[in-house]
Amino acid sequence: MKGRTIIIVHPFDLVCRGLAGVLEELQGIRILCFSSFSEIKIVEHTPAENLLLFVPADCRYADELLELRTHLGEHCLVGLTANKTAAPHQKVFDHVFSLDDPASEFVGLAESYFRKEKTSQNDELTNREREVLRLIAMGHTNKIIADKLFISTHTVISHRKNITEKLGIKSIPGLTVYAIIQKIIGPGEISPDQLL
Amino acid sequence: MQEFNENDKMLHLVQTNHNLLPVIHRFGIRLGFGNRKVGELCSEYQVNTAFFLAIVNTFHHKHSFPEERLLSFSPLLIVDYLRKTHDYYIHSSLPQIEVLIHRLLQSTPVQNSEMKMIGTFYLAYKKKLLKHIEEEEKVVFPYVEKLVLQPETVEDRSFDINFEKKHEHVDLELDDLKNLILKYMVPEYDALVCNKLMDEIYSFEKDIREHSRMEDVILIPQVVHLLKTAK
Repeated sequence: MKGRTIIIVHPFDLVCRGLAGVLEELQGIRILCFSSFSEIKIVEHTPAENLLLFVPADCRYADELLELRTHLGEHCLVGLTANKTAAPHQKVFDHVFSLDDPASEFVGLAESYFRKEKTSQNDELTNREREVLRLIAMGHTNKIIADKLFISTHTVISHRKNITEKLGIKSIPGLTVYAIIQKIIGPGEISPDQLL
Repeated sequence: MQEFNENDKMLHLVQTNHNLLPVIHRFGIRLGFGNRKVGELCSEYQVNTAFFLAIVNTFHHKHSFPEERLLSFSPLLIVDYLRKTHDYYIHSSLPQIEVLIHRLLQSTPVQNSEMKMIGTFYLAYKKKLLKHIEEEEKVVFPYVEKLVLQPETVEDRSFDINFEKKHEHVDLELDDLKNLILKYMVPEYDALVCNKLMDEIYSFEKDIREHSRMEDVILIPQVVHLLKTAK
């Protein structure tokens, strides 16, 4: 399943569960806990678009941390320390948090990290987006939509992305139903196999 | 992490997390537990205790997935379990959701006939999911069983490991169904029916997510491994 994922690696069960419990208030994010780095290979099977990792900032794990860093690319790595003064290997981390930091700071970090991709809080479609949606619901390809509206396919793709983000609806059948419910298109105008 | 073990009373599992009841039923274990322990009931119903525990613990601790432990079980056990979850979807979750959607839409005003499209959307979703399930039951599962029991008779070695990627699209549509209802429902509807429906959809979503994970992270790697080791 694609999406937003938080991975917590920590030898202390209490830390894993506590942090998972605190972060759970953020909706729509998958949280996975591991007690050691050796278990984390599950990441290979998890094609996450957005990954946030909490790991112990402990020099005993220097090798694992370096390896993880190289694999992570642009994903966010957060080091956890027992207290702020002892924070080795700062360089591999995007952030270092101390376990005595208030819970709200952990939530705040995750929230702002995952919010980056969201462009709009408003779900009102622009007139142009409604036109594009109408043509999507009629089953047209990006190329045909572009020709009909005298815009580039690149622009069509960017409209589609904005529509999906505003509505929270990703599949073509879902978008089609939305267009009918909102009376952007009549039920008779779509082809019967459009939902399949 | 506190995990259930064979010496726990079966009753304790359900009292701790009632969502485990459908999983227990799925293994064929029936109520009337008395004070019997997990180990006792499993052997009574001829269920592999270690496998049963791995599954209920995965369900209970949503943040953990004991990949290595699950990989160590026979693919036959995994396939058998996946078949049972399919049965549960076909005979319980999917019809239940269908009935509730129908009742919910019936409770909306007649003039909002466009809302009926949500029902059509669900039926199309269900059709796709059932087709995917059928392909697994008719092609994938028998293939895996043959690979374990009579590897010498398997001629086709070109198993499509991307097959399971298809369920990602189906998962997407379940999410869309939730959003269509939660965000765009007309305000006049039967709230009790709606509560029940959302309950059912959320628990189905969780169940099918575990199910997909079992297929992607456990069964498919097992098949790949079998194909490598078989002569």
